[in-house]
Amino acid sequence: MKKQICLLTVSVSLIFCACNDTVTPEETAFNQVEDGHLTTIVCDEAALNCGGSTFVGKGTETVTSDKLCSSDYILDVEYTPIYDNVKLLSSSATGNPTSYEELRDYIECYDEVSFVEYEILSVYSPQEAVEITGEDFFLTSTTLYLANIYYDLMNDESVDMTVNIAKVGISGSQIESDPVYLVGQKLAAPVFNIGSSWCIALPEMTYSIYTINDIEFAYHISHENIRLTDDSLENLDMNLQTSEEFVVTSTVNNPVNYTQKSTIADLSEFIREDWSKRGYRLLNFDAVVDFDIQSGEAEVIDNAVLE
Amino acid sequence: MTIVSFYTVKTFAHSVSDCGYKHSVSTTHWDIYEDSVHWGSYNTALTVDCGLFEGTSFETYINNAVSKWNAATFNGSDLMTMKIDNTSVSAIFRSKTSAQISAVCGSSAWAITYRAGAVIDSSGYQHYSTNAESIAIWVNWNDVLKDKSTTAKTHVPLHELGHVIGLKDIPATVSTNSYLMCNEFGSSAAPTSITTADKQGAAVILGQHTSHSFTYSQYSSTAHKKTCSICGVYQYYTHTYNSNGVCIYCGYTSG
Repeated sequence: MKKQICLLTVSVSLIFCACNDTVTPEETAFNQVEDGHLTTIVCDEAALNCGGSTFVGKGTETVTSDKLCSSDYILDVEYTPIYDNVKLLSSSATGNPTSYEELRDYIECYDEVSFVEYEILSVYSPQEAVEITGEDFFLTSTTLYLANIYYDLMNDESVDMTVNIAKVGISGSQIESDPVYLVGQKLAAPVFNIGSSWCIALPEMTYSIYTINDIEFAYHISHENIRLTDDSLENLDMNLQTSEEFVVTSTVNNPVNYTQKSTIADLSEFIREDWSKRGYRLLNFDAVVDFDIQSGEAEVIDNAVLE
Repeated sequence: MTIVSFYTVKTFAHSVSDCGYKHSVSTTHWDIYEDSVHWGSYNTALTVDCGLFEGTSFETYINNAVSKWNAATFNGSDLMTMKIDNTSVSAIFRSKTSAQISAVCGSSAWAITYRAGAVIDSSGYQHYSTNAESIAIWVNWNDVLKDKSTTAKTHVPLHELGHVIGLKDIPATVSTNSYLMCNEFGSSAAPTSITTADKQGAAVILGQHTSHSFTYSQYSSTAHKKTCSICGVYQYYTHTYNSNGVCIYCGYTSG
């Protein structure tokens, strides 16, 4: 909190200073370093006057600002794909959530949750994955990745934890618009059951992370129905440029479909507030014990029997 | 001169497009897997094992779903045979977690039909054999479904057995809950009965529908639409005019 007030004060004084002069459209944004943190003064283009507050990047108290101009932060990335002509499948799940509100049913079933940033370090072979997890589906439909969780977005702090993350899709067949990962890709997602063998990143809320002009953005992968909205968070639902909607990453004939663009700051803020309101228990990385994700079948819990 | 046309009606046990006809889910309100991941045929009994759900409250829902499909008729005839048989198993229900289901289908779900065990038949199409592990219905019971409504619990086995037969999901653009194979309910209640459209699609993919009853309707100045009034498949053909300039099929008058 103290840090927040201090930064706001600094930003206000800077704004007043800048507004002494007439600001031309070319001078609407500039960067400078304050106390080791990059701050960007964003001006209200509509008014042609400086009127924004500071936006502080990740690693400090997140202070969201007036709306960023999405067209000033356009994704321009080029991957080297390694697959082509893969079979594209549509997800044929029953009862799959069609909104963020419905998705909460699936989050609530976990004892502890977290929302993290992670980087793909390597890819296991199908045989290695089966040996590690005991699950045959790594031979037919799913890939296991070694990943490093490097940031806990809920507690706003760095972590360093290596995990095995499972994700649908293999070299021969993938879910359309949700291709397999490449080594080096950075993502953010809620994660559960961080244990000794494997964990899952919630498919409906997985985001690609990109840094554009020194600001971290989260691009929502597919699942267009799961859209986050909050009028108080100006950069939670930014305009996606056409060029940003489909990006070839690992697979030529299966570009990833980005369906929502947010700053990581506003996305984290939304999730932190919403989960806190609902009483979700946040995972404490310092105290992580090895949870076992059930392999094979789960013994059936029958409400009727318990009654 | 009278022109008589002969054509052979082919069975549709596999891909509809193979037989020269089209089907559109927005028109027929059923959809099938064109790569034919489907149950063997309407002549082969589909036996269902409740797995770990035997003796639980969900077993009742599974039994009811099997009974409904077994009792279903199409065009006056029995659609197929489906029965509970824990000793000779075609399809088995399995209790899985949210994590496991997400890992194989890329989505959180109440249930999925797991097709990894499908085999390739002599025609090059995938189908389910009587191998117990070739068809599994994964149910997210402990994490989600056990706390859902009776409607949801009724819907799941009925809908998933539809997938085992070979029916695909109906998108929300067609309907949210008018047909059993709808899967994007939104705020609507999940469907709990097998509709005529669901049975039409099942009859096509099972190979039971062998005799089509075509009707013709004008489509454009150059073509008419030939539609089976029983299953809904269709195709477009150019007009065939008689000496009076009238299409002998749809009655369109040229000029």
